[in-house]
Amino acid sequence: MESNSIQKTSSDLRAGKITSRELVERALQASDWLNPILGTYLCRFDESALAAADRADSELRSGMDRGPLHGVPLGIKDIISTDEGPTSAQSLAQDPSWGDQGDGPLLQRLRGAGAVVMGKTTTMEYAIGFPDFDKPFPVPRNPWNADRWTGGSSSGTANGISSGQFLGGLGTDTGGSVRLPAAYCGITGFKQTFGLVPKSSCIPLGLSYDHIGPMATSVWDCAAMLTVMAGSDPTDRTTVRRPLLDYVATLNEGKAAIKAGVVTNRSLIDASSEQMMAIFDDAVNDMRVAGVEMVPFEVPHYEAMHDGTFIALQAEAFSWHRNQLRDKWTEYGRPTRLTIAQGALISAGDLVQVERVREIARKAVLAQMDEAGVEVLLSPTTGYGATPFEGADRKAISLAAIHTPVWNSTGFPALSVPMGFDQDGMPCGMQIIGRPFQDDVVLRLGHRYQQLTDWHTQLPALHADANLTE
Amino acid sequence: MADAQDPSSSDSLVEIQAMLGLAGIEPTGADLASLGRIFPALRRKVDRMYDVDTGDGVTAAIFRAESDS
Repeated sequence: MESNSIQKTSSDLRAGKITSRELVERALQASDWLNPILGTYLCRFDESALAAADRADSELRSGMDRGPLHGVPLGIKDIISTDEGPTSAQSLAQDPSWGDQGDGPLLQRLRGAGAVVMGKTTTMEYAIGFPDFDKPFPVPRNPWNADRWTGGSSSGTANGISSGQFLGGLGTDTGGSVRLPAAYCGITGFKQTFGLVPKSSCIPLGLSYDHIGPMATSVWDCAAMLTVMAGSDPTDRTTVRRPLLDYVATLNEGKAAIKAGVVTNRSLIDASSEQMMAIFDDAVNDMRVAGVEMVPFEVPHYEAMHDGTFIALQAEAFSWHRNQLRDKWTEYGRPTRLTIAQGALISAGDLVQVERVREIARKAVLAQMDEAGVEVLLSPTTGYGATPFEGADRKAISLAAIHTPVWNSTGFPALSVPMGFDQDGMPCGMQIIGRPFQDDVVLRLGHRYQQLTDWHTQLPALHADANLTE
Repeated sequence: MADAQDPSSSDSLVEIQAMLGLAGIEPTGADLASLGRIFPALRRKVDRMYDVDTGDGVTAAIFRAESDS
């Protein structure tokens, strides 16, 4: 694809510089050589994607403009049901008929906005666990170095965007699964406020921690997707009725001065490499120069929320998987079944205590943000860049080295934007966290950062543009 | 992602087997051994949750009787 950005491509489509069919054909051509290397797709929908592209071209020619996603190719994580094909959850244990329900509200909204669904993308089995070489599914690899993993679990969506096989896509995030692969693959990923976007027609992991979030190269692109995705739906009782916003229109609104808290919790710093913290310091300085006031911020109950997220999501996952685990234990991948089975080792009282801690911690974070007068918090998204499949540093693959789960516990919006590269040439992400339903504030600051820097525009060697046949 | 593992004790293996057995799950011997190594760290994390003062009035979840939000 000539441009990796929804913003630029939607402008080119309207200027007649390219058609949606050309875009989709080029994307498919790119996937023909990239997908076998990177393991992006579980299932490609070539025929229906080309038909959708033709419809988009016809509508645009006739003056019907559905907005910035019109004619734009997207990848969908394969735990989300779609009309075209099966939902495997990358698991031999998954009942194929689960996907017969077809499009849920999100897919309907995206298609209504003219988006072209290219196919279903790889994940970790059931959005949890590790890369699994023992199962007959592709192992997603990082376009910046194919010997390293993408992070999980929205892996194929992240590596497909990073490598130019589509322009945006859907991931899901229960402990960081949108933000982590976004950071590791050098793209932008957003976990919006819990309740802003419906998550029906998606296989749950931890129902009270799950989010379906947009992934793309830039904040602008994620804002365009969120504008379409946001809004309550009767099929998901956790969604909240709120006024709908145009998140693209609000990117350049609001006051210029903003105060941010820089997360200083010892456990986060200790679980991050010195190099990652130095890159993060540079990003913070870039923002400071641009007029963002910075203050140190110790997140209350940080460690309890970090651990509590994993305890609760394992318990919630176990409740969904119990009968299937009983009947199909060995059909699950070993890492997956061992992770989910831990949910059986947590008592009902333990889970209640985790949720009580979650509630007081959420309130304490908000109270402290009020007291400090900060609108957003900043941290690295991860402690290390993407690790090799073989011989990874144990500290780098520790759960402590991911700085995302706390914000699934609070439900606050959290964005990951590229902020540089480590000594191995792997991308690093900065996380911007906001108050509940101030998603526009988070996106605005991320957009401002991307106007100051060009990390999000850098392309890996394994990118569609490297092998385009004109 | 990996996390801390400890040597398992025969007591904890019995406990794990019993809890999984309640769900009708019979893990393989190798899986049971792995869960045994994971279990102590998991329980330490759970026990730390009780170190947080949650007071008397905080409920875990708020049930709502209305049909939709």
